[in-house]
Amino acid sequence: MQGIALIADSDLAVPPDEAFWLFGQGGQSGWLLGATCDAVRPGTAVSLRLPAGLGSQPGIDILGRIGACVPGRLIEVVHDQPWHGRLRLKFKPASGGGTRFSVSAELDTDGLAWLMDRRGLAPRSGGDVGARRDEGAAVHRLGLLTSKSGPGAVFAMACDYLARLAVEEVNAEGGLGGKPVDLMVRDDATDPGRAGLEAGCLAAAGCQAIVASVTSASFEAAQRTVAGAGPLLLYPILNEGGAVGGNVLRWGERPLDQVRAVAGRMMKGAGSRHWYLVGNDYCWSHGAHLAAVRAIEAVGGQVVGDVFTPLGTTDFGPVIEGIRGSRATLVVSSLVGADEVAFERQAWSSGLRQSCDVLSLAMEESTRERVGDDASTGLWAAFGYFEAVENAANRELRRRYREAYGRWAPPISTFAESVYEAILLYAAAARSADDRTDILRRLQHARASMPRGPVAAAGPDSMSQRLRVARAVPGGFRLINE
Amino acid sequence: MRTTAQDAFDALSDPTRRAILDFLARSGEVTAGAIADAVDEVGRTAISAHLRVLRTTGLVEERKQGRFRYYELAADGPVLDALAFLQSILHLGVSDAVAATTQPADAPGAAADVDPASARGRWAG
Repeated sequence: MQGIALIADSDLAVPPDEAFWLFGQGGQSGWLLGATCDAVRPGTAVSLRLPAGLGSQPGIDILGRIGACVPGRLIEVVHDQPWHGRLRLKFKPASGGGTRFSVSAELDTDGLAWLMDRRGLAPRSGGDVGARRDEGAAVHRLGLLTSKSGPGAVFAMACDYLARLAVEEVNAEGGLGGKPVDLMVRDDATDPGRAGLEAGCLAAAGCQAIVASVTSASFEAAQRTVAGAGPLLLYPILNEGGAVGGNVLRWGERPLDQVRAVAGRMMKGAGSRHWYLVGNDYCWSHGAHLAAVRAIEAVGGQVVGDVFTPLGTTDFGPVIEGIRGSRATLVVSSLVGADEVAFERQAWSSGLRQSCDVLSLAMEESTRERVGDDASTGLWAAFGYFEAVENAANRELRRRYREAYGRWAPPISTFAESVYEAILLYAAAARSADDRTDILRRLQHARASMPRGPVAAAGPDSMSQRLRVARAVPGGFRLINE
Repeated sequence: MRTTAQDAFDALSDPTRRAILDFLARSGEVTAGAIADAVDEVGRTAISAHLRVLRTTGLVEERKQGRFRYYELAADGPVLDALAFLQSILHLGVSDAVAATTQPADAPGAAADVDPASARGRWAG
């Protein structure tokens, strides 16, 4: 990786082997920014917590995986959030039986830009953005509003990579209107207030369209910012649905279809009809739970508990006690990102999972990986796309993705594939349209064959697609009835 | 003055410029001649060119006094602030390591007693 590297080093009192094996024991005798991972071996997901000092967020997680390790000598962490970079931990024997320990961090331009921005130092209004607007005449600019930090960073892991892959594809076919497509990525920090500002920033930089892979609360804020005369706003990922403005397209899977696809099967398997709903306290979960109640009651089930926790919750003890104290043995979780990771891990370690079957509405591949193999195995999921889908288009997407981003890049999830799809659908519409109104009209009736299979837009707020049911297994998902 | 991450990145992508920054970080304010003496892999003319790039990207500040020009790291420069922040995170990581390997195992979370001088940072390529 071409980039800047910073190094810090020190002497440790213990031998290299001992220092090495302490890595990843976060919460106990853990070190290196509270690193947590289930095992120290290549491919294992790792999280590290950055200290305060990056804007108003309390703590930001570096999310990546172990790319290489040589016991007693080297651990390399390749990370994708909040920027794409690499941490190298080196252990060398030192005199007196101790260890010379060094840690280096590598980052690229985007990483530096993210850090400068988060330190409140990038000249966003007058500088960067203005300069980029000047370039805007020579390019067809698209924006990606995604979550590089905050609880949503977990589910948005591969979204910017897939957006870049789609843009490369469009450019390989000659760009749009004779201009190369340029992608501008902004981080909403999983915060609606920030999402609104960033959407405005993307609009000011001359983006023709903005694709959002953020929570629906952030999407709503972005919609308020660009409603009316702004660029097109495409929200292609799973969401609870709702009315949209004139320049907005709201696609993605819907919770009603997800729960319908699984509820009857789960009840039959468990021999139970009592459900408990757990979600985050914002529009997505509230909408999803209304849909879940409908779908559950339609098959003779009964919801006996419905609880919402603030986004960013880390302790699910009280929620787990609530479920335990109820008659429910079936659970729908609409928790997202880091919250879903914390809930599922705690539900597993507390023993709740031994007595409950859980359908998770937002646990795609990236989130599952952080829940871990032990705690995720057996969880139910229903999405339009899984990385494991076997067809020619998806095999080709997986091949290109791994070729571009390497074997340690995060898995492709339905969110990331939706972003990829949205950019290709937008490009197809823009190629044959005369103006923005025409692009919008074409997108409202877009049909295409994608890695997830056939998709067909039905107006501005609905996209029909085939939903797949799967259960988590070690390493990914096993599709049912494929 | 506008410093974009791209400008800064270009400025930092050169090993000689990183060597100059490293030297300035250790020495404080110095003359161009002292920099040229310390970073001796290129000639004085080249050093001036590198200093110009570092100055225009806001990484280094220049002060003229008489016939001398003095240079120092732009302490409040956005790029250096961002990188200094990242550097401080690495130091914190190293301190975590020192603490984890010196504490008795039955006292987790005890405050680490780390000598800041024992954890040093530097530019690398």
